[in-house]
Amino acid sequence: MRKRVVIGVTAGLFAIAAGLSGMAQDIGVTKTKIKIGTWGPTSGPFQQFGRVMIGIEALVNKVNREGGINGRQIELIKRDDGYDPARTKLVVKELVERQGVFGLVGGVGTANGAAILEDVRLNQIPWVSPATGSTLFSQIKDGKPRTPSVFATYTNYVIESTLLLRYAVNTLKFDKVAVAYVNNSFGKEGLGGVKAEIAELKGKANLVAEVSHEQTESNLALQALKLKDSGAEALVLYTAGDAMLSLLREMAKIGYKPQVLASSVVAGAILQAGPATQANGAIIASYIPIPTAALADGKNGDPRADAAFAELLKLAPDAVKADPLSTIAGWAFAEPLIEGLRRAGPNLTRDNFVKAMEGITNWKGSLFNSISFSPTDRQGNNSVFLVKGVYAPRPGFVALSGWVSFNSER
Amino acid sequence: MTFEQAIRLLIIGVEIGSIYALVALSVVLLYRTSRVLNFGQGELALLACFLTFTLTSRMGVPLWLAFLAGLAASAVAAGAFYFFLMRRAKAQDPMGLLILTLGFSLFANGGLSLLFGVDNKQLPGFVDVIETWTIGGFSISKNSVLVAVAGLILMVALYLFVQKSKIGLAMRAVSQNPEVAKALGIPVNLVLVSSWAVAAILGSAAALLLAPAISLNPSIMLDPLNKGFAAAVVGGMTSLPGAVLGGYLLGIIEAYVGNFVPAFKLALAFILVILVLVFRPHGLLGEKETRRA
Repeated sequence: MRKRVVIGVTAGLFAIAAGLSGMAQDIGVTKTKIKIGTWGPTSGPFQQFGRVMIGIEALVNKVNREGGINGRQIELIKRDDGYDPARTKLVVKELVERQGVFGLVGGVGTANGAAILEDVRLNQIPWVSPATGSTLFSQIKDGKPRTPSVFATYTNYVIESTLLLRYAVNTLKFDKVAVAYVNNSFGKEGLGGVKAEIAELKGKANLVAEVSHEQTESNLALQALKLKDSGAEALVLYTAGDAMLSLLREMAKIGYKPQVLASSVVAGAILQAGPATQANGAIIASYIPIPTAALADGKNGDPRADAAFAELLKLAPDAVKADPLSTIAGWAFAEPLIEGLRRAGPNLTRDNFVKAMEGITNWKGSLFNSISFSPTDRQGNNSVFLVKGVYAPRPGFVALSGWVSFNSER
Repeated sequence: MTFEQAIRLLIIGVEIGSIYALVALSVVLLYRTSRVLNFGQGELALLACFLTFTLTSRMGVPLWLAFLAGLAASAVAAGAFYFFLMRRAKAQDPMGLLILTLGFSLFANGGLSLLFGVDNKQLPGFVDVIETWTIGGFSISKNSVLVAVAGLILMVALYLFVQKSKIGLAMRAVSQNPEVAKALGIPVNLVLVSSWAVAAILGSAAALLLAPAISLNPSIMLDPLNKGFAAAVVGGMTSLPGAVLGGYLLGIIEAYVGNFVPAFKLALAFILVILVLVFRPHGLLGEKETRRA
């Protein structure tokens, strides 16, 4: 009797397995649903970074409302990691093992992403748009992606700082350049990009100072003094938060007025420094176009960014008004995921999805300038859009350039 | 280093040193009377800042009034914390009380984040933080002068309070021997509540002077508090003049060392602490402590 039951159950399991493979579905995918995970801080001192998740959710809501993808609705599962890498590891483990998500999208922070990257690699979990510009997520080893299931879309800090430097030297004709950076991977990658490009430009520009500060430092009076003494005409900023505001104010105090060029990371915060600082006129590299709401004259924003902004407002008006750029960034991060899921077709498996993502070339359907992946490239976007921070008629940005890409002429 | 550079570094050192000195004073004042380090000092100061910000920027209250209200609120909160929690705690050993203040700090920081948010806010100052005066060829920011002068005034006020007022005298008595003070009819609880309140006022004044130059968010007191503790140890945990000396010394040394070895700047305070603890454990101006029976 017992033997028969065992045989019956085994046969049943085989039948189910056969059925499942016939339907070619993967973990986190049913006939009607695709489970996708994301995380970011929604508590603690860095909770504003978690606003990226609002953008992701707004796009997912819109896609679901319009019928989903190949008949499936996306179930977005959000988790709070407090910007603490140790917690990131836990929440992503929970997303993958208990919730059984098909893949990940966004995910804020370099150290946070780094904490789970090895697990993602070993388990081949699809992960689109880590919300950081570190080069860690698109590394190539022996001609192959080191983490094949990860697709980076954020213009990385090395490319971004290179483009900022080219603009300072080639367009604005400055030859004395300084870098102020925070002593972490974000700051160092920015510094690295500037240094490499200075070497490439062979004598057209000189790096007259590289000034660093620790992450916990919030008074940058000394650094301001050093920068002033260096006589740099252009200052590339790879620092953020309180420290950046302190640096800009201390520079103003001692009457040091270089042209500031800054990473996309500070776009949402730099104007807090005040109109009497060099935030006024600072050039910022943005990887997404600017909506009307963030433009100084309140006119003629990017229509696609405006459409996204309108959707975002429905979901979380206060956060979106307070910080239009980070929330819209989330929307942009999720767009390539949606495209990949569409292209993978009804037989959605992780393998199919990765292949579909690899097939995206020169795709212009998102807020990014253009997205291209290939079997040997996981850095999907290499462009920035330069804007200038101003305070009149209201604090905001004015567009300086169209898209500039890394592969363009020096 | 040119003479001009040396003077500029000195100005930077004195400005930040004033903040360290105020925090160190609040640490020492509390330690002298209740033998406790209060990790919640930063949150009490943040309460003052957030309240001042809300009153002036959101409700249009004049800055000086909002400033005083902020100081008063943190004093009341500190007094209440002592009276209702510290005093009643069953774990009256220093470690138990220390953990209690740590718990209060974490709880209060979460509460403040929840109430006021974590986005940077701009706390208005009495002067524009960027404007400068030119004195003898040097431009000195108005804010640096304000911070240094206000710091000095507060230190003198504290000196007069402790040395000349009755409650100050009682504080000194309690700091020397609480049991005897109690036996002599000194209202020890009142004295302790007031020293918690005064310590909170000093810490809050430091934060209110600092915040306009940076931005206001729930993590701005972390660094000044660390440095203030370090300055207190360097100056001597029992000496008020020592705290002032420690604060300015740390600020100025940090400016000069940080200029040459930037990576060393953060570690410097703690290297000084180690040196002091090894070679002069009672601090530069502190008295050698004899353990009470």
